Amino acid sequence: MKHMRIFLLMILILLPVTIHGQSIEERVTEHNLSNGFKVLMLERHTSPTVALYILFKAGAVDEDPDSVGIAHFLEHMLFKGTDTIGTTNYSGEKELLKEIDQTGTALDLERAKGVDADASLVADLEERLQELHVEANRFIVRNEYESWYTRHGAQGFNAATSKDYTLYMVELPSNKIELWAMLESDRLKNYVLRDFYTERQSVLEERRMRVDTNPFGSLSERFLSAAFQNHPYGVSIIGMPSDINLLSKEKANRFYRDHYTPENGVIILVGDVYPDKTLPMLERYFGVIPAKRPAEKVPAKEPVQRGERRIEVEFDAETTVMIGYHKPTLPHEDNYVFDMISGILSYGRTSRLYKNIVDRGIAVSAYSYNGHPGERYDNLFIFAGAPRAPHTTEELEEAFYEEIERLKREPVEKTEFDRVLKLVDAAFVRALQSNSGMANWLASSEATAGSWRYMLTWREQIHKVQPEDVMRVARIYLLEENRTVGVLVKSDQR
Amino acid sequence: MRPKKILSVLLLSLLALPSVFFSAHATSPDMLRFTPLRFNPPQPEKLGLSNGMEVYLLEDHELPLITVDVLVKSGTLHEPQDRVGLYQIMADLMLSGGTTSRSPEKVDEELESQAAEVNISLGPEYGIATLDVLSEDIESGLDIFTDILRNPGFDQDRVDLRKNQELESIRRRNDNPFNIAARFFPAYLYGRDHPLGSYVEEDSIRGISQTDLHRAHADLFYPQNLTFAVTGDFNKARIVQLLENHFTNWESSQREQSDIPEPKMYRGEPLVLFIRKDLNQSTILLGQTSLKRTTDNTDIYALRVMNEILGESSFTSRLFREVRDKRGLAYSVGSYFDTSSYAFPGDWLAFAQTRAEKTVETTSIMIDVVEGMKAERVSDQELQLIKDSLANSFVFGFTDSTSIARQRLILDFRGYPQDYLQSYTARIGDVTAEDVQRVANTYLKLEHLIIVVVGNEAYFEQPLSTLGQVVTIDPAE
Repeated sequence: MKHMRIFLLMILILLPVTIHGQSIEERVTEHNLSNGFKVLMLERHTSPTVALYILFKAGAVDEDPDSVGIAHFLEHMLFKGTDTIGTTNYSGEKELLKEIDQTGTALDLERAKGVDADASLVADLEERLQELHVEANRFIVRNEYESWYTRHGAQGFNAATSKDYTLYMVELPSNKIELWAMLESDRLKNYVLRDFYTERQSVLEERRMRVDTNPFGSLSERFLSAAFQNHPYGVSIIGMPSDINLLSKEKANRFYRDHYTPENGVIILVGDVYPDKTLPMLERYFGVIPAKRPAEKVPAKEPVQRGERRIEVEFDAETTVMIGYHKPTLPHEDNYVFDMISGILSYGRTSRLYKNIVDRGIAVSAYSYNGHPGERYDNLFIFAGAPRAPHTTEELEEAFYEEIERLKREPVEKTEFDRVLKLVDAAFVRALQSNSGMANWLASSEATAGSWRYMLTWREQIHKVQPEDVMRVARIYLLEENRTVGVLVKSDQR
Repeated sequence: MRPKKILSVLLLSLLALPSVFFSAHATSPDMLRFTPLRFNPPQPEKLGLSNGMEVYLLEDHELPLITVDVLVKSGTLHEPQDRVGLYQIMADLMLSGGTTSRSPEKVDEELESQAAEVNISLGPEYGIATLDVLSEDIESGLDIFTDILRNPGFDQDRVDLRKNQELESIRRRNDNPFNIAARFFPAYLYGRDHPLGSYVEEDSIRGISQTDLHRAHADLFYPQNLTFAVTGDFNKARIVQLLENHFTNWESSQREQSDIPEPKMYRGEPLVLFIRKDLNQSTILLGQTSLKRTTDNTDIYALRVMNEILGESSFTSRLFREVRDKRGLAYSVGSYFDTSSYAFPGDWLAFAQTRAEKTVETTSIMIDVVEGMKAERVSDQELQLIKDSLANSFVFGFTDSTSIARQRLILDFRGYPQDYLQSYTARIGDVTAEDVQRVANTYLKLEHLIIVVVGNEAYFEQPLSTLGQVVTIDPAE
């Protein structure tokens, strides 16, 4: 379940769990390359495989207002190759790409005028763009970059853009680490944005798949824009169609220049890796990328919410509800309390929401989680679920609010704290079985808290949470005037 | 060759190869050289309990965890057809419905207080029940796990709850277009009256009684029908003793498995199943039956290669290239070819989700790509890419002991020789372009193609009838 995964990612903890006698702290090596690129390596030699992740601490939240969707789109575009990979002849291609860009931008801007657009100009530009594409396609060696990875046994080759950060991921047999270093450093230095307008079409399809045809995606997008009225956490990661249709190479290059700098990046290797031998090789490939200060982005501040907000989304699907309360993010002391509250309410079959709402048949799902939609900035504590007919979303809301009032009224028993801590301990032990799981955990801590070591202190803090902290935090933040409610309502369609 | 390059080549060949080797002078990926990967995955040990039940053991002391897998050697194919859905509901209730000596709440609390996880899931031909527990809790974990497996209580309140949850799932099953397509495709391929094509309906759920549940449990969970695998941080003597204590007094009884009739697989003209849902993106599935697997079928290697080229290999497959990369017609596109059905033929299908006004065009391109696999040999480059990929990624099947043991469990259940895995990559290496074309023609039957489209025909650029005879389905059926 989505919320369980988020919970695990957020609260994976470090404790005296050892692998062959060494604590995690002892097993993670941390270095900076000469250009400021951080490298983390966690050794695990159980199988000759390695998870290789590159993190950039920039995501959708860092976009300029005229470039909504560019962080995610740039991530797509970085799979299109370089000046040597993915092309038969870059010097021949280069001029064509420039002209494609100029024609495409002119076309986008004209189309954006809507009914006032000059129809014959649009037609001319479309025809010209089509001609240019036909010419440019002759230079393309399709998917050459991905083919290198496929050929050499890659698994889980992908990338992801969140509000907070962007992650490039792959797992390879451990004798192929240099291939990865070469390919990744090459594309960071020499990427080429070819096939730009075709890929934009694929991103429009992705939006249709994730939002337009997806009940939860549709609700989530509208919910966030209601919950955040000023801060970019309320802005869609993938962008609205009108945003996507105005994405340009200039915007992509700008985002890259501002944020894809060594100082803003973290290279993470987990698995069958030998740090002493690998570090010089990483320096040779990644250390030569020019150092550059990343742009300072100060997002608009979200004003204090002073009244409940309610939105409805009509959709051809059964009803669901999502509720969010504004709260401070890590490392504020109240955030640890919220992590514990999430565990008490929602972690496992004996958690309160499961026992009191799901097991009583009011809803088929009812859960909570902390830290939506990101953790670099102040965020939301979420309650969400799907009622079981004939119960309604109003009843589910009431059930959630009863649980909230109980948190304010009654001190939580020590047994409930212990239950959560036990589950969390075990989840961490289990996570150590997966190279990619561990790499993900290191990446998200680096991105949101500035250091993987955040998790070393997290456990201490969560053990210190007291019943009165839970009551205090519930009384301060879980208030009607601080909540946003989104309800998916079934549209009456035949 | 230019002198500088000759020198680099000489230097490379003169370098001693340490266990980790980096190519100090490579400037492009094709210049890189790699030390051969050495891996020797451990083999599980097989032994028998005193009542004949088989156990596979594989020790792994990296982490303080133990996993107990129980293979159930039959599955939902045997479900009575007036109770579709019964078997998986029964499996869920084994976990949530308590036992004859523990209330449902007690089971929940006991498991959670140990952070133990139990999961029971059933497929058409077999199922797996799993206990995942911290090694210090193996005795108490195994105690409750055994109780769950042998003595389900099927508490009436929990039965009613689970049935009600299933009814809610039925209400929600048309919320998502992919789920709609995935439900009707097998229904028309195998017929709704066959276990492979039937789907849950309200009547069959409402009718489920405790008698049904106990009978279903007895049909699947008896000693001769189960095999164990234990992996992790255990002591061999102790674990064998625990298993003996818990399972050898279980009365054996061979259940008679009723014969399942052959499905009437669709063999008519190309058929378009249309389900209207007002969406700006259409979901397209197209396919047919794949094959009924036997252990001596050697086409499976060529089929694996064929399907990777067709649509399985993300980013480099033909479907990805033609539909997404070249034309931007879909984000989600690919293919699937089932070679793991032994009782009856499995299925193959290609899928894509494309904007409504490109529905017919995208479907036609997908069919063209499939036809291309039949009409021409794949290029040497495509073939070698996939063969290398399968050989080089083989190691990922062995990254943890639980997967290794589970693999062995299932291979032995199917009757494969012990060297099946060792010879796998070599057999893949032997596949030729002719083989790939041959299996594409043998198994990708386009003359009886079933196409499923979920979307709004008012937005389509052409009528669906251009693709074949159209049957419109009401998803409430």
